[in-house]
Amino acid sequence: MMTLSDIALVWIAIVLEALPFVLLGSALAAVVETLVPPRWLERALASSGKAGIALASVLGLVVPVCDCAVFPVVRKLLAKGWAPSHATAFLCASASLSPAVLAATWWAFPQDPRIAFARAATGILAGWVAGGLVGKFWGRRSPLRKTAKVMDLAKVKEVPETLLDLAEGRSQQPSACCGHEHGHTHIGARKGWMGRGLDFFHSMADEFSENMVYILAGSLVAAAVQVLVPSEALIALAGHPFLAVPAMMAWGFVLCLCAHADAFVASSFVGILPPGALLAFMAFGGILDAKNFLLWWSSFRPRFVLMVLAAVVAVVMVAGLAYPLVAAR
Amino acid sequence: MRNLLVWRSAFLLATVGSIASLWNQDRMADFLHPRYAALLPWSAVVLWGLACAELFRWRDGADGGKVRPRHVVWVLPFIVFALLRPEGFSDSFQRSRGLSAPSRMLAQAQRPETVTDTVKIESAPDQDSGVIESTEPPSNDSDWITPLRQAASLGKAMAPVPVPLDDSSPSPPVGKASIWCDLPPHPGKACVDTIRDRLWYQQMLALYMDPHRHLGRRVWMVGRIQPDALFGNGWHHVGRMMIWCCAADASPVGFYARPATGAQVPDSGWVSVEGTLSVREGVLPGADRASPVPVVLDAVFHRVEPPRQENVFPFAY
Repeated sequence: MMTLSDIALVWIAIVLEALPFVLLGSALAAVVETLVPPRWLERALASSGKAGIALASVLGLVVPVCDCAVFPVVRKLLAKGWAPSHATAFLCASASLSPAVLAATWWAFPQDPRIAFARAATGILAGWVAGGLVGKFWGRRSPLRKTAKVMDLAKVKEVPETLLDLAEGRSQQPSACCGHEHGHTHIGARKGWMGRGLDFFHSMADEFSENMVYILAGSLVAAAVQVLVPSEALIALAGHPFLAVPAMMAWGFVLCLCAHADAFVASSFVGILPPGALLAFMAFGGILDAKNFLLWWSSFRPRFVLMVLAAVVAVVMVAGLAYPLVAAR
Repeated sequence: MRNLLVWRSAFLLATVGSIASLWNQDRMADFLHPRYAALLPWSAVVLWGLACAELFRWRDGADGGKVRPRHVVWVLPFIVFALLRPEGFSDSFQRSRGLSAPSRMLAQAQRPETVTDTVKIESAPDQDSGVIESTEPPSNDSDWITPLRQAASLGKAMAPVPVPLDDSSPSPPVGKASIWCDLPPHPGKACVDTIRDRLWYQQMLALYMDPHRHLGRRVWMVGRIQPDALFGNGWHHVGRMMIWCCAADASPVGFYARPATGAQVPDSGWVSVEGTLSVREGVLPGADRASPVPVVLDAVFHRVEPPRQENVFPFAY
């Protein structure tokens, strides 16, 4: 019973910590849904190629979203036709580049502020590598699972014009949207400020409901692991020079800490673990943790998730192992 | 008709969940950093707005009027939390965290930068070697924090800014409370160093940083007690859970204490402990080598009510 109570306590703490940021992400996603025209992103960024990946990886500096908030935005942008490679770069890099995250890291490591720069650099590098990999091997196919519900802009020219008209609010023809006949109103079909406002809230509610299911499940798994597996086991593993980096990446994945606060937890390991392991803990946990992994898995195709995951793991691992060498100079 | 009922139920659940989050905020805030807890009421208001918007959607017949479990599932943790009513971390959870935070503090304390700061403070003029005495709680934050920053010898390296919380622990013995009494003690003047909620991390870090410097201090603190045989049978650990972000990273910090002869020692629960600081060599959980550990000898325990805020939050950010 006490174990259940502890699991519930850690579970709700993780959920509550993430809740405001998921709401923020859902609101930003709703803005994208209601304000960004379906083909605008493709027109704006279609020819940007590798420069687009580089640009997307540093976008986090001006669109300050953390790991909980970035996913709904990326999913909506993908549905609006943003290139998967660019979206991947933004997804991987934005949490590490958020000004608040960088400031917190700077403050948590006053004796070594270089680690804040290293965190930002690792995020950008992870974005570049993952985005480049997706651009080369995945192409412009939509990585979203539910392509029937969201438009795959890679095939936009094959989509009946009536569907695009409907999505852009030019048509109210009811039977064109879902392939069957019914009389409901779709997001984007309403006119005027009132209609747009309702669209915004409905889109936000959809996005929030969709995300929370997986965040709840992921947080529950993370809480159970934390309560049932003594943390000292993993931390003891991290004492090994070669296992420190992967062990701390795993610990960052399981802990599900807010990217704004993980630097303070990492700083409590200074002197016990090598700085590279602390960098890996922050960088990897900031990009992906247990609660967000289920979100990725539920929304993206498995091959896409594994591709991005492999790129992120490789980059963070190399960064964690190389940091002591670079910092020693 | 069925859809109407389902949507109304969803709306009610959402509203109840939102209100519950507000109602439970004090309890929930105990397991979340106050900065995050402060966002909860705003989140509840937004959630309530979303629930209202859902009603309009039902009216419009949007989305085919279908309701899915995902529309209401986010209230689930609130319901679980309300049903289980966890009052705090269990002893077993605390033990599973290894009572290990002191070893991390110790490792931090042994960093050269921090030790250098200690030297600076010792030589600081006009501070009476960092000794601040008071018998009354300070009236405002600056009175409390500024001397702490000097007395706790932390300097800029740790950049501590205590979270502005009410000090919710039971009061220390009247007339002899202080933070950092004079050493050696003034003849005929009983003075007890009290480890307070707001200064917990800073005071503990100072004690762990250089335990030999604090030999002979009388300390008083409130914490949860549990038997711990690190230094042999009959020893106990008295500590509080320290949280940097949320319950996920909570870890216990406290003292190992040996009861005075004949002292009654509760097996668990909240106690106040008063005793004399000493030093023992020991391998703390999670550490790979022995190190000097501050311990409390001749400890006297009294059962106390749990503090309003059970856990301590070392950083504001």
